[in-house]
Amino acid sequence: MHFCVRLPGAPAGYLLVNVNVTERRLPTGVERRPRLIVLAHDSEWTGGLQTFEVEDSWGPPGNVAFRLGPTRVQWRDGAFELTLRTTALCADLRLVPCMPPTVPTSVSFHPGSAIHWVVVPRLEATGWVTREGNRPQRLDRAPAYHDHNWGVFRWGEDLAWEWGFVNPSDPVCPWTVAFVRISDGSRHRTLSQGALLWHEDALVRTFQDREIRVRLDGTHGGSRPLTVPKIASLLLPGASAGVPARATVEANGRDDWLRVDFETAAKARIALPSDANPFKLVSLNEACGRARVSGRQGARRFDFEGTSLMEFVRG
Amino acid sequence: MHFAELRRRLGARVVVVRIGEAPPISVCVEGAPPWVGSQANGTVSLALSEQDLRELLRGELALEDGVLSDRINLKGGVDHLLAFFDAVIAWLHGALRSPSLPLLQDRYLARPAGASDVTAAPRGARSC
Repeated sequence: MHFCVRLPGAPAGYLLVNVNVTERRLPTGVERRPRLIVLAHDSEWTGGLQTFEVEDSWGPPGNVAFRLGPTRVQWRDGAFELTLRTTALCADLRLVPCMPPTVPTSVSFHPGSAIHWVVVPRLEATGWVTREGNRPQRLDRAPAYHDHNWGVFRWGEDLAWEWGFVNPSDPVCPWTVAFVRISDGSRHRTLSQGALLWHEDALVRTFQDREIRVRLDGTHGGSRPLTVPKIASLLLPGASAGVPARATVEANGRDDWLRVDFETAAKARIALPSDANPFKLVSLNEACGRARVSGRQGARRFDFEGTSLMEFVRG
Repeated sequence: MHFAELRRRLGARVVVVRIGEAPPISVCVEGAPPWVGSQANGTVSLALSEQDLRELLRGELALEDGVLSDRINLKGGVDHLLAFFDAVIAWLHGALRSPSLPLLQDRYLARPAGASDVTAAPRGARSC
């Protein structure tokens, strides 16, 4: 489960909250590992990764509510209420969806493995966010993104993906975009890709598969990215992290077209142990930046700029 | 699995670790425990300050950068250094999969600088 909230001030500031539960079937029984990952970027990155005991977590199936230690999410009065309590970041946010969620989409990459996705690409977040040692930042209807994905797969198997979304800089801009590409681990074979376009609260166009071309250009340089858990950076010493300097999504079909030009401004990465290889890590690279979106849907044309967050999964 | 790989990589090599001004600690994982001793000489020697160790654990210093900048002093024959490095990598992959690592890391980093008790080898220490 992801929540991404636009932070005020920096050109591409975001708070990213990820909650996931991995389940492994071992000879001794089923092992569940709830994890909370938080990252925030304004002038610099901060964040961390926490693992919880099952006894210290709660999240009934089929329910959006959960609790991991002192951090919790609940659905109340038409909004998500996020209470985040970690050493690096705290927040109390009410996130009101601007549109209904998509119906679940599924991608199967081999027998017995599939990943499913539900997205609410635009919400408005009100409340406050505090970084360790700093004063609270007040948010008033800040743009936000939410998705939920689940499935049966192993981290580190022959799988990679990129996904992203764009929040328009103009709060009255009625357009919203999200996109995803799932491929094999070498990114030679695309298994599924989609680009979704909303106008107001309606999903008005879904481009799929052969309608879409994704291009990644260059390498985003700079200093070594923040890696969580931090000790994992000893196993990922490089600075490039496989994040492109630019990403372009072009979609065409039935006289409609869409183009997203994303430019990376900053990056951080989440290092997860590979399930497929005990001596490898999977790197979830989180890149925030600016994007320009243009296109046509039916008789309507659009052209807007905004902040964007993209995830590049490698390993 | 990861500890077995560490043992395979290190073999009978003795790694001597010096943190700041504390007495050296020797590590040799061949044979039965105890694997930690107090030898002053070994196949590979590693020396760094406690501050640099903390930066390593916080992910603020890369191993390679530490060695190249002489913040981490690493001595030994090339083959032994490569074996040591491979052993450390294997150990780190195991540590990252260990539920106890975050707590151990937090405990160590929460200690005031200089208060670390890594100075003393545990009772029953032996030489390799």
